[in-house]
Amino acid sequence: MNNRLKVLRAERNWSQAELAGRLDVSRQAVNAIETGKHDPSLPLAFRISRLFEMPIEEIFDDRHD
Amino acid sequence: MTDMTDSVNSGETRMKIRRNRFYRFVALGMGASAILGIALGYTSDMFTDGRLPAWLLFALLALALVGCTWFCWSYFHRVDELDVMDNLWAALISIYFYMAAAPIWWLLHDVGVAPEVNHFAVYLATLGVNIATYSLRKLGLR
Repeated sequence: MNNRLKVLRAERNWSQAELAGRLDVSRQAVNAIETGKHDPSLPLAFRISRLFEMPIEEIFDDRHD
Repeated sequence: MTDMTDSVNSGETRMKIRRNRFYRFVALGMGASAILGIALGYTSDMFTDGRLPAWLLFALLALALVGCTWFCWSYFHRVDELDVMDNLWAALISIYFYMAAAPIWWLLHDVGVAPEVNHFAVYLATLGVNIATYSLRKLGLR
């Protein structure tokens, strides 16, 4: 699934470790989501949405190009 | 599990604290497993020699089983969803390996081209596949 996590993180000058700490997951989890190797669960997607104060569909896109 | 200390720390600090807690937990679990393993080896020798009642050996085995169950339960409450997925994939692939390896070996033995099935060897190979799959996923091969 495509997502804007890396861009949103860069806009805030956060490292992957910083984002991982704020989301209560490992740095590897953040990396796997950013590179599209792991689709987050619904609870984690909501945590990400609340953290960035954006709707889930503005962060994640399930449409394939 | 967010406390007052966590709420004032940066994300990086919170991640480091949680990671260190997790490593301490794993180290404690491995230490306890090593001590229990040595104790079980020692007591099983005593049991074989007739110096230990059977109930004590069974009690130690029950303790090991309860300890292992608690450790696994606690482990999966401490790791994140990515680690749970890595464990689930490793378990799935290794059980499929077991389901294929054991009957294939049995069939080859039945037609006379292989020795009798060595169940401990199949167990060790299954464990190897599990560890290899988990490790490869941890290295980023997802």
